[in-house]
Amino acid sequence: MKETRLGDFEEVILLLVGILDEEAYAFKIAEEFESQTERSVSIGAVHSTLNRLGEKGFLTSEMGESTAERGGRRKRIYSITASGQRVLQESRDFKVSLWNQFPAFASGNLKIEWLNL
Amino acid sequence: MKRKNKQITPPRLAERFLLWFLKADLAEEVLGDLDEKFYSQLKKHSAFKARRNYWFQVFNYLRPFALKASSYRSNNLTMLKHNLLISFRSFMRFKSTFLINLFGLASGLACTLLIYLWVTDEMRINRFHEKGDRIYQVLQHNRWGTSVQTMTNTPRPLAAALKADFPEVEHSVSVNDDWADTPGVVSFGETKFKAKDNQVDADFFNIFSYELLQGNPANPIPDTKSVLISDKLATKLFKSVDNVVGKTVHWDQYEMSGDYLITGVFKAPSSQSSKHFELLFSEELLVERVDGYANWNNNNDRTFVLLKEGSDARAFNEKIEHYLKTKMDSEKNTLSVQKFGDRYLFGSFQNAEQAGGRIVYVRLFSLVALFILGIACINFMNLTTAKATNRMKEIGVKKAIGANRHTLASQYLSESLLLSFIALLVAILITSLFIGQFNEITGKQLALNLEPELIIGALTITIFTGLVSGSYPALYLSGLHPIAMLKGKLKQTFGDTWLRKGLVIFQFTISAILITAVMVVSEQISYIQNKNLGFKKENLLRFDYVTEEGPGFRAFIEELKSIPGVVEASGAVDDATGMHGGTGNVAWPGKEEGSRTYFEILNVGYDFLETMNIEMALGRSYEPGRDKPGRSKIIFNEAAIRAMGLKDPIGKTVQIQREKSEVIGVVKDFHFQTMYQDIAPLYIQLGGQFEYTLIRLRPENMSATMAAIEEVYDSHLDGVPFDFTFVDSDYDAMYQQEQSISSLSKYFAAIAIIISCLGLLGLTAFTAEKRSKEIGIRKVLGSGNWRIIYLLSSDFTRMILVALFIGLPISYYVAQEWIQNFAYGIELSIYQFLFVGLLTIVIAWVAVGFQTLKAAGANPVDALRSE
Repeated sequence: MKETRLGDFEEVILLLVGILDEEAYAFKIAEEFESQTERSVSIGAVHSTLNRLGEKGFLTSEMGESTAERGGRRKRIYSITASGQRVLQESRDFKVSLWNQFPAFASGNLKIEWLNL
Repeated sequence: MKRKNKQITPPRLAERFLLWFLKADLAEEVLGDLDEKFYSQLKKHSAFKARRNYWFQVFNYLRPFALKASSYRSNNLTMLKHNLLISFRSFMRFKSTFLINLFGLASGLACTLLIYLWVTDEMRINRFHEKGDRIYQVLQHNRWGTSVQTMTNTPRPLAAALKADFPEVEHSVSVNDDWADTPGVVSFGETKFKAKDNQVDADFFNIFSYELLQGNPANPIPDTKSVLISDKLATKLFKSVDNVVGKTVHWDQYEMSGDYLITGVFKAPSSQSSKHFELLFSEELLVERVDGYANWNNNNDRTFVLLKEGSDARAFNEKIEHYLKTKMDSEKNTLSVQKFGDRYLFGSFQNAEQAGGRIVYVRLFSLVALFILGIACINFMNLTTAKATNRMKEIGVKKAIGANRHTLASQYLSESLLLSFIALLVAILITSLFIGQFNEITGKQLALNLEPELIIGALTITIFTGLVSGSYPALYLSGLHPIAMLKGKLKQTFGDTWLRKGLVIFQFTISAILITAVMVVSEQISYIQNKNLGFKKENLLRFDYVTEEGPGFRAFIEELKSIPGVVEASGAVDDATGMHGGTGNVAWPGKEEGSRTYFEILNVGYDFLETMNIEMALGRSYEPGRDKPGRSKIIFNEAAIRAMGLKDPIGKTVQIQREKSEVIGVVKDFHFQTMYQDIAPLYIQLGGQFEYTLIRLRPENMSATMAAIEEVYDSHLDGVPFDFTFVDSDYDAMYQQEQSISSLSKYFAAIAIIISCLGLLGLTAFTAEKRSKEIGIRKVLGSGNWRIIYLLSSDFTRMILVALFIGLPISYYVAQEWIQNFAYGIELSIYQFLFVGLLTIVIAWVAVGFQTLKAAGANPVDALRSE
């Protein structure tokens, strides 16, 4: 029985996979994470999360092409599955519904900066 | 492979490490990612940082998802876990065996730890000098008498002469530490303290690593008016170590008395130094103040040399052997050097050859530690193999499903290792509890500090113990036949029981030897302490008082004598327990030409013989007014008269160092040296200067008498603390080493016998349990309780008898050797050894008595009903 909810870090990684599209492999995802959040992360940690997301069925992967700076080695490209997309949507809907229930936010009195996670 | 930067590549080692633990199917992508990371780092940072980051990334792949599922490693881990679990279960199941083993091993380890601490401390004494491997002490072998006596006393000019004549000598130094035996009094204004001094040459600090804190290192003691003091003394005198240099202190000690300028401060010698001094004067001071001090025939100094690097001490020894003859024509004494660091442990000489010393005790105690640990290991072996019958099924099943010998052996080894590590924890607890008492007995300041050496030592001992005690069970149990085990048909072979019995015999042999040691040592010590010494050592008070014979001192003595509780009082230089001089230069009427007899000399005050209660055999004692200090009137002891063959000695004239002396009396022989020596020829002369005062007290009303004495003392020696000792306790202190050996051997023997008995108890319990059915049937058929007790105890009684048969002759031999060191030793009798044997048997019976009584008294129905 695999856990089917998303953790915070997992959600970000999943989104980054979607953003990077064809370039979504561990090294690039880690770089992107660091540049977007200005927090450092090891490739191993990202890889571990990608692996877990794969086990949960939110990601699939296949080997891509190789480049020179990889010493001729191929990379593993990740892509979001249908259930991955669904779980992202659910996560967003859930949060939006929470936002809406918060009177101060719902009345529009506060400026909200979206998605600054 | 093409790379942008051919020189700089990811660290190979990190890559190899990664591949070692990483799942094979992840290797390609991960290595690719990490390479890409590395080269992107390289663009922004230095090669070092990029490499460091690579390592960081590699370590971050140590995550469960990425690890190889190695069958080999996980299996080992599982087996280890399984083994530990099984060990714990068997500990819980056989609690008494576990506790016996634990207690035995823990006390064995605790003894070993204590002895280890003591031995390492002994080994460190005087070994802290940086140039230690080149510092040698010159020894003089006295060849005047019939046997060769080795002494450290050498002539004053020797140090300088050796340096001048032998190129291999880098530095040399004369040190006088004789005066340190009688402390002087150092004073600054009204503050006075007793302190120990040495006189040294300029190169003292160039040879030894005593630390000069303040002062001129090139010439710390520039002249005979200067003194160096220790930082401790400085704090005592001036409350601080700063601004001490340049102050003047007064020193009271005999010829050395006077005012001295402090020219430096040194760090007080640590406990690792065998020498403890608080003041250092110049050697020249002695030359200045003592007549003839710098003569070649005046042996008052210790000589140390620092040999140049690469010098051969043996060759140097040969060169200097007859060196004294080049200075004095008729000299027979020879010289040799010994490494100073070895002096402490290897200090004894026989016929000019190194023989024994404290190292004997170091070895002895190491051996005792090994034996006690061995006894504890034997318990583990015996109980484990005996109990193995209870675990036969477990081993049988394991073997049947394919466990090989190696696996089973490692199971038993891990069990014994686990136990020995638990025992180590308990042992550390025991050690920290008893280290205070141990220090008291041995006179050391040992502590359980977490030094790396101690940790390594303790771990080595523990692992060694675990492996030794586990080895036999491991080999024995893993070699048994599985089918026989499962069917329960396994018979204990002759070899097993023989070995187990042999081990028990070994245990009790050692125990018997240790018990004998305790008995012999303590009897010898009480013999020494209670032997008639020829004088009465009880109620004799002494305190240091360095002064000249004269009206002032006479008045002091008379004042003391007027105290009602004082019987007699006298000044004295030499005493009956400490150092004194000697000479071979005595001539008497009828002396054979060329023969030499060595005479000991006691310098005493007028009433010394009366105060000591030494009886006169012939003639009279000294009388004030009639006899003057010096050698003109002397008194011999009976041994001296015998040695000279002098008839009718009173009134005869002898020549001592070419001076005429009249013999006025002969004292009965009394012991003025240790019991290791025969009573030697001795003459007594009146001293002109005294080092201490001796008072005989009445046993009644001691405290009032003491108060009165202190009053008289204070009126004459104002400000000097009244430090007194009693001669009988000084006398006991002479045998302090024997005392501590005696009490230590008591403890060790007790521990050895307790551990042995515990083992026996375990074995008896096991036998009683195994034979419970047999015992039940015997009882049902009418056997009495005593018959059962006999049945259970006859077996081990036989073993103990064999042990005694082996142990007692050995201990008799060892005891005889030891006793022979004493000129006055006890007679060993056969009854003492019979007593030891009986004692061992009784102790063993008592130990197992409860168990056998329980087995014999059990209701046979309980044993027979089961199954």
